[in-house]
Amino acid sequence: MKNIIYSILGLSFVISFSSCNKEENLNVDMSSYNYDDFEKLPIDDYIYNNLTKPFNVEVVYRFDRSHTDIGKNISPPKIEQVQPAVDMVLDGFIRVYDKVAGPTFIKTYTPKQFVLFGSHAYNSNGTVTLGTADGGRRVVLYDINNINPNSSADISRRLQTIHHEFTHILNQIVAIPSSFRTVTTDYVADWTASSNTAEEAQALGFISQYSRSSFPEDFAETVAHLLIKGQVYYDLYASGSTEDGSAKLKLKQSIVEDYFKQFLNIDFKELQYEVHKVLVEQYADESQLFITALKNNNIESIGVDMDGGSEYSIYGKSAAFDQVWQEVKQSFASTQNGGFKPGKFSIVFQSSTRMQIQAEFPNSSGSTTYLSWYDFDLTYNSDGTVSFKYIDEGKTGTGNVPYDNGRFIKEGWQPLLDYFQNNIFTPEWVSPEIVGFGNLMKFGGLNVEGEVDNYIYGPVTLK
Amino acid sequence: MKRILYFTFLLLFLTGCKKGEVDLVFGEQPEERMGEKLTELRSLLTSSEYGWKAKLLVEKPSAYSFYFKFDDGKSCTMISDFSNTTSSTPNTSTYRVMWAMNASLLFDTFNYITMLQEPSGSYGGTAPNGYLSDIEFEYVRSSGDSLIMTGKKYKVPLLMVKATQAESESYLAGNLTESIEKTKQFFNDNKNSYVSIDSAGHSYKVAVDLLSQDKTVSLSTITPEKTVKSVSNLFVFDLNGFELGTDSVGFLGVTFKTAVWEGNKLLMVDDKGAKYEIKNDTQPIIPLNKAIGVKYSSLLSPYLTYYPGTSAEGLTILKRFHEGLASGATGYIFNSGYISFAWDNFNKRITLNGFSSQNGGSSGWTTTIVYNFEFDETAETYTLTKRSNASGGYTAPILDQMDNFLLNSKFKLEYHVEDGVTYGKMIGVDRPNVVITFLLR
Repeated sequence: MKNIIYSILGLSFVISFSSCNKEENLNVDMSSYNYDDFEKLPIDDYIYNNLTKPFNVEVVYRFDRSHTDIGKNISPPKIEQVQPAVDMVLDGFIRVYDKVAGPTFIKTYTPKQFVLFGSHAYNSNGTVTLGTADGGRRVVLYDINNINPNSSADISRRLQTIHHEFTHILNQIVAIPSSFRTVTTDYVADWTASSNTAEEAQALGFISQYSRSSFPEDFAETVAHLLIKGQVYYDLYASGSTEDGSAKLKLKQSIVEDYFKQFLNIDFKELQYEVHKVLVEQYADESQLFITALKNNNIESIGVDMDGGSEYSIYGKSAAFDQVWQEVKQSFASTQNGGFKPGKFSIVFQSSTRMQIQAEFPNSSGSTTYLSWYDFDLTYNSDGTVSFKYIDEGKTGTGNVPYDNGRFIKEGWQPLLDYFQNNIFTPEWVSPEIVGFGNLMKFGGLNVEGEVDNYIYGPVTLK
Repeated sequence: MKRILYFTFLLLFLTGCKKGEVDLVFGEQPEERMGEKLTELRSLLTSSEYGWKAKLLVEKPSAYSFYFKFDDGKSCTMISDFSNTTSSTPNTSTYRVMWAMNASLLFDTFNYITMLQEPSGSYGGTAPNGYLSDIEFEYVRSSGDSLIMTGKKYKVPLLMVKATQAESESYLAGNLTESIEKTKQFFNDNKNSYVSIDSAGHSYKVAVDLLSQDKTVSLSTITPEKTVKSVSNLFVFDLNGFELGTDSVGFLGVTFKTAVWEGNKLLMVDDKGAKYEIKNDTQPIIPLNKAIGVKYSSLLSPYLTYYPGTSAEGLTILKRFHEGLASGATGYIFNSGYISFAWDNFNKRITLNGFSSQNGGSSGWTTTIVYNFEFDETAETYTLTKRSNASGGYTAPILDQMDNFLLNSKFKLEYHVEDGVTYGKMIGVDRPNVVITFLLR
């Protein structure tokens, strides 16, 4: 009995001592070592008031190793370069979506953290990382020290990267429509391979060489190009492609527009216009202006059909020019070459310095329509306006019949020719606020310098 | 018996329920110890009322001096001897003291110190590492008025010493630039600068060369046994001369620490405080036959240029080449050219190049002859034998007299100083009438 008691006791001791040997976790409170508790600079207030407070977006510009790969060589930004970077993100990206898609959209989907670095991220093998986006939450912007707000090219390049990355984020929320995958299937494993030339990518219907890497990249590239390079660039690029490639590029754009409309309730054209407006107004970007397209010889013609064009009844027309048009009609009626009537005409840009009016005039019964041509020299004035000067090179005979017709009927057209000759014009795209976002960069016109209500416009054909 | 049992159970009860405190190996909670270290570094940085003078030795290798002024607002004002701008204009950025394995100082926005760390090469470094320098520094220790830190990535040492009020004002007024210019100018004006060191019963003239681009000062001398002895040290500019970057590189028993200005004299100061004035010799300390191929890479005779010291026979040899270029002696007409000798001490070779050009020197053709040489250490003479015959170019016919002289006469190399310019002179031994002066490159 005693033995049993002792052995129970002995066992109890063993158990009690071993059970007492309890390890405790050390309770460490690190909350007072928040490394972000630095004193505020003016720029910190600026970021707080413009980004953090309205959009719940954090900007990390003070160097922090943990925001990049430990193996990379990378520098912090200059303090004075932070604001241009913040402004670029704000104006070129967040406010645009805020306006077009509404505050709820941008507050929900925008990346919550922008990290700024002064240099590129150099890998130890010498290669460079240009931009990264992590998990829909963080966007890292590199090379902030070289941001130049006075260079629209520099800003455009950077905004294109931001819009590209943001498209990826949207794609994580709403998947890319499967129809997009089948438009082009010529994706390649290594898009940097020398065989993937820019020409080949264009011919196959890709907006860039990088587009060929995969369909999500293709989608993001398509969006970024449409937003930053603009509609005219896209259309010209498409027409520089093959017939098949051109159709595919057009189809991709319509899928992109559909994606934004259907799933995100965003009018993509409006988005394009707002981005364009920021680039022009904030960064003096001239690349998408009508006059730049003229100088680059990208515009084929502006068609004007004063009596038949439906646009004039929908969007209105200039009373001042209508007056000129009435004079044309009268002079046709009063000339000896009776019976002919003025028809529609085109302002054709044959080169960057030569314009031609190609005007139709049907006979009295309307059974036959004749064509008359008038050449003008086009000069660019330093203030962004253009002037036209009528010239007659005396072309005649075979192949030049419209010139002969022109001389024959010149008296009738004289008020119109005078209109071009005697005025100074500002060439412009017609604002989509007048013709609707669907017609973004579809209508162009010539506005008489100094007279807001005196203009001529019509649908634009690109070369 | 029962009592014993009760007592035992009571004991069991007590032992079973006793909970021990966690043993803290270092006496305090980790966050408390972190806090102490962080506070220590933070207060140290701001404790120096007039800021800090600092030396940063980067891995490139090179060395730069800094002046830092840390204030409570977490901003840091900086001056550096990195460039003329950085030495004259104070620039302010932010800093942070944070914990990353140890209390660390982090220059978290761009400032002069970042120019060394910037990976791209826009500030003169080499991509992808820049100058192999850091902006994150770990607190190592402090003693007296100095503070020692180490870079996180490249382990570069950052040595900081408290500055005085006068120094602070001088740095912030941009006076470092003047000091740098003054020192550079001194070595520009005194091409043959040297200090005298007495060691083991022999008085040495030790040449002092300041390569301000590489932040290197090199000391070299010629021993009684006619061998060259030299060391190089990194240095940084300070307000009153320069300071050697690495510790204790002794030379002939002397360890130099700094160079300081006293009036218009620049004095080297050793670790014992002894001063050695830097003087200028009439010609370089290291004989030309030791310096060629090391300090100077070649001898050059530019087109139609004859330097003082050249003898009549020497002139004939040079004119044979230079006048032969335009006269058509080669079979072609040229309007520019030069003769150059390149030394290759390792392989004991001399390469003679005769260049000819028809467009004033912007492009042309080079004829090359290579000689093997033997150098007689006692007589200090060169004996040449031909290694390869003339190849390339068109000037072989007008290099004939030069070739003939080189193969048939030993020669010596000496300096020739005229109007403050140091030339190199080839003096014939077997044909002592031939003396030719060249430009040293």
